[in-house]
Amino acid sequence: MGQQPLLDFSTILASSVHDMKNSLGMVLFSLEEMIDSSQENKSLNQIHYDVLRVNNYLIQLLALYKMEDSGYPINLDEVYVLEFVEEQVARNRSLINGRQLNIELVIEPDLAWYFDQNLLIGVINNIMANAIRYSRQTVRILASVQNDMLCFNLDDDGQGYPPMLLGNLSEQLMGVDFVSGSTGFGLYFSARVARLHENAGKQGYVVISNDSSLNGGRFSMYLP
Amino acid sequence: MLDVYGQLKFLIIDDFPQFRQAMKQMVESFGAQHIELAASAELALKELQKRPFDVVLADYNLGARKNGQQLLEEARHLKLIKNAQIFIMVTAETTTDMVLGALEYQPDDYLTKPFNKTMLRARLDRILERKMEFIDIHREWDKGHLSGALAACDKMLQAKSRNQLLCLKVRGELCLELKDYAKAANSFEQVLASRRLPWAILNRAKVHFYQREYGLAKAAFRELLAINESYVTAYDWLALIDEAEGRPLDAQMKLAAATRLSPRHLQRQVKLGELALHNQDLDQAELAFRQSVNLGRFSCHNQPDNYLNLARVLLDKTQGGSLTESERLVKEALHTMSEVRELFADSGAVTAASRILDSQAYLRLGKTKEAQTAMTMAVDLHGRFGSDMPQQSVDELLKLLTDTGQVHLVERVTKERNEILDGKVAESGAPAATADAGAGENSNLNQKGIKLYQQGLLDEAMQCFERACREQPTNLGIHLNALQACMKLLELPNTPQAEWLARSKLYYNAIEHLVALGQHSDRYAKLKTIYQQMIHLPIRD
Repeated sequence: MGQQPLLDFSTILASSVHDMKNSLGMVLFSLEEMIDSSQENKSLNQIHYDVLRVNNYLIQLLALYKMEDSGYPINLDEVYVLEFVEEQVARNRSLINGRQLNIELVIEPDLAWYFDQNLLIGVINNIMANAIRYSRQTVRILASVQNDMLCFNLDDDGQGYPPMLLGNLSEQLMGVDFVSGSTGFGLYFSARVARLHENAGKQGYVVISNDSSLNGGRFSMYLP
Repeated sequence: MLDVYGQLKFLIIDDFPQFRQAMKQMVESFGAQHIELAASAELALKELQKRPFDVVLADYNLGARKNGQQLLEEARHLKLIKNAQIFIMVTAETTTDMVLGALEYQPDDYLTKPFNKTMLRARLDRILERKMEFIDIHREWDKGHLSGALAACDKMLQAKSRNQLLCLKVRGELCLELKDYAKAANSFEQVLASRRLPWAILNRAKVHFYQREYGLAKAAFRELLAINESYVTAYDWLALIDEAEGRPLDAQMKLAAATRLSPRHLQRQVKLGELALHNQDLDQAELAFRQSVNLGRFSCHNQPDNYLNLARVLLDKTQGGSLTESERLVKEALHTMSEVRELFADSGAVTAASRILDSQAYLRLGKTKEAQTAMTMAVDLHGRFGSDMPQQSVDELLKLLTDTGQVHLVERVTKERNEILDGKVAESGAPAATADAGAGENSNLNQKGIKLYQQGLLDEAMQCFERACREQPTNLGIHLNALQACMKLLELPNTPQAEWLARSKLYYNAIEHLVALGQHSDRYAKLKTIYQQMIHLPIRD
């Protein structure tokens, strides 16, 4: 009856991730200061991109660990989608400016939906980072309600997704080949997050296609 | 918005100086001019006591002592931060655990590190806009005008603002405080009609509980656990239902499950310890009280009882144990008593209680001389602070004296006890000179109030107690009298409920504060139970 818990891996993981994120926070802060005041931005932007990538990995790893270990405690609440997306854009503002991209948001200001903000931050950060990397000039984000599902689309005007990644992700077997590489890993994470969202028996899912409104790739997430 | 930030007062709290600086620079970059920094929760509280702040940015991790959530709880408890002010918790962890863990007092928002100034600005813009919408509601609520706040809420709902769901949540919480359960239920049902959001399920279930619809409440809490088995608070409520339906052992099991998921919440550990003790499960009681002692060090909810109960359980366990085991337990008990004396040095009653347990401990070790010394100290302290000492401690003392054959001391203590119980309510324990100077008039007011209370003239009695409380704000006994009279008044049909509930709450808060500072009274535990039943308070985290 009632044993003192030993130091287990989830505690170690949580506390080291916490420390890493603190360090990353400081790095990013210093970096953005430098970017603001410097002319020579190309290498700084590359550093910025890589640091954000590491941070995204950390966020996703921790969440995936929780999903595998004890189940992720999903926290559903009402979120105004436009505000939410604008904030993620703000988070990546330096990168966007560095690559001189246009970000277009096609979202009704009154559109509100129900999802776990924290998980979606992880998803969007990752997808956006990819889009910023692979887009030529424009990234367009669209959101609307279709058939009682929130349809969230992120379109880029780059080369498009490779054939291996295309399709309805929740039905595909995503093996090691799929997830090696941050794009695949991020998509795997997105699919898991989508599936965690349930309502009235329907689950969320992710579709990757090249049906982009910008002739590049399209990331689509459907949430019930 | 740039102008707005120039007018707001910021308080930034982080134990890393680099982060403090970084956040300061961030807010300065969008116009903030009045910024104070604090390196710890304790320093932050000092700042908050000096002046009100509009925006508090606090890191959850603040070093080895109080964390950001504990800071928030204490600041709200002491009314240093009100509904109208903004508190943002900055954290490197996923915030879900925190949202689920922070029960009574939630920050306005969580901000996950790392973030940049653009994001911080965007988030602050959002929160400020939202706060502006709720400003009338918050103002009324902070003044204690609950029905005024409710009216403002209804007005906002009619205007169909963006924050409909949040407004319904606030409306529901207001109705709960006003004990208007039907309206509270209705508010949460409206949210559930849009989507079965966990917080709405939780709140609707709480209303079921207050309405004593235990079956429906149970089903709803179980639904929460089905959605997410780490929904710790569901266990707390299921435990309350078990208790209400007379199943203390089941209640203990549920709380134990909750503490395994969330071991760092003080009040749950204390409750678990008390239940385990009641169920005679000494092993569980020992664990829970030890954890309470460890957690309590930096909490405003720390209580001497946690230490005393731990020592009691440890000493109980020495019965029938091996000699080495007994020695270990006794040493820990003595160490715990030494710590409680250090932390609550101002309280004669706590010191007395600790000496009594010291004495028991020494007897277990066969050290009769030390035991006697401790006993004498306790008897002496009883002479001065007896009226603040709980009956349990006095009983322990009398048993000790009887068992060691000290008849004359038994007589002395018994005589003192009788004098105390003969109506001299809580006159001792205030050592300050000013208290002594006013003691004459004060004890008259108090005595007058008691007489009026006994004659059933409750309003007049309240007037006396109220004045007495104002004149002696640190006198626990008088505040207990005031609370008791309030509760008696609330039982009468013509008493305006909202007003007197608000008054009781003020006295209750004052009492809690005095107890946390180390004062003690036999009546405290009983009155607290009755008060909490009256307003149906659950375990708070």
